[in-house]
Amino acid sequence: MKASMAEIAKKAGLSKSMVSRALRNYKEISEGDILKHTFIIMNRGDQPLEIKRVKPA
Amino acid sequence: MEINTKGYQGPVTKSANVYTNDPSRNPEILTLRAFVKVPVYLSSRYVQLAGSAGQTVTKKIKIQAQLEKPLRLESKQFDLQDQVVYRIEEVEPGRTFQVHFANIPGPPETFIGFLKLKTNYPEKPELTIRIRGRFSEAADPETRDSDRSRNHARGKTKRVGTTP
Repeated sequence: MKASMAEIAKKAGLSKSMVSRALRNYKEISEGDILKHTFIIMNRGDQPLEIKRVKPA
Repeated sequence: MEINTKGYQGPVTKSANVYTNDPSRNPEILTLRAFVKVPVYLSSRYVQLAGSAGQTVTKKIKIQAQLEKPLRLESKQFDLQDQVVYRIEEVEPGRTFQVHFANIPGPPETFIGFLKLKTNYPEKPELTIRIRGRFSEAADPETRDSDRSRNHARGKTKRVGTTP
């Protein structure tokens, strides 16, 4: 049986990040609209999850 | 994540890479995607005219109405009268236009300016097209050859690789 990444992370004592929805598609909007979205990053591991840095791509 | 779509048109994708101590998902990529509707579509907001001095370079920009009502365009402001000429062509009445730009051949120079067009759309009353020009010294083959031999005589010619 295949173990999930969360299980592997838990066994290894690692943090395991998980985003509920990593892509948000707004479809059609008007120029000048401001897109705002809050992404939730959860920790499915058994060690604290640290966000080291966030870089716009 | 927040994105101001002012100045954007068409498909827009913005991402952020989140680096964590999770080795399996590093980085975590978060993406916002949208299609930005505009009342007037411009194929480009910038025109770059570049070449040698004395040369004529032309560029064109397509403008398309994205609303049902017919679009009317008229010149509002242009600050490069001495360097650039332009012409507005109505390709499809009230729908599609092309603005043709050409530099006025002259000495080596660089210039930056803009063309502002007035529209009849209250949703987008003005369009600004930024223009940048860069015309360098024309390369004269004779001058270049004599310069090269003069530099060689002075030992200034840069050598690439090894010669016996």
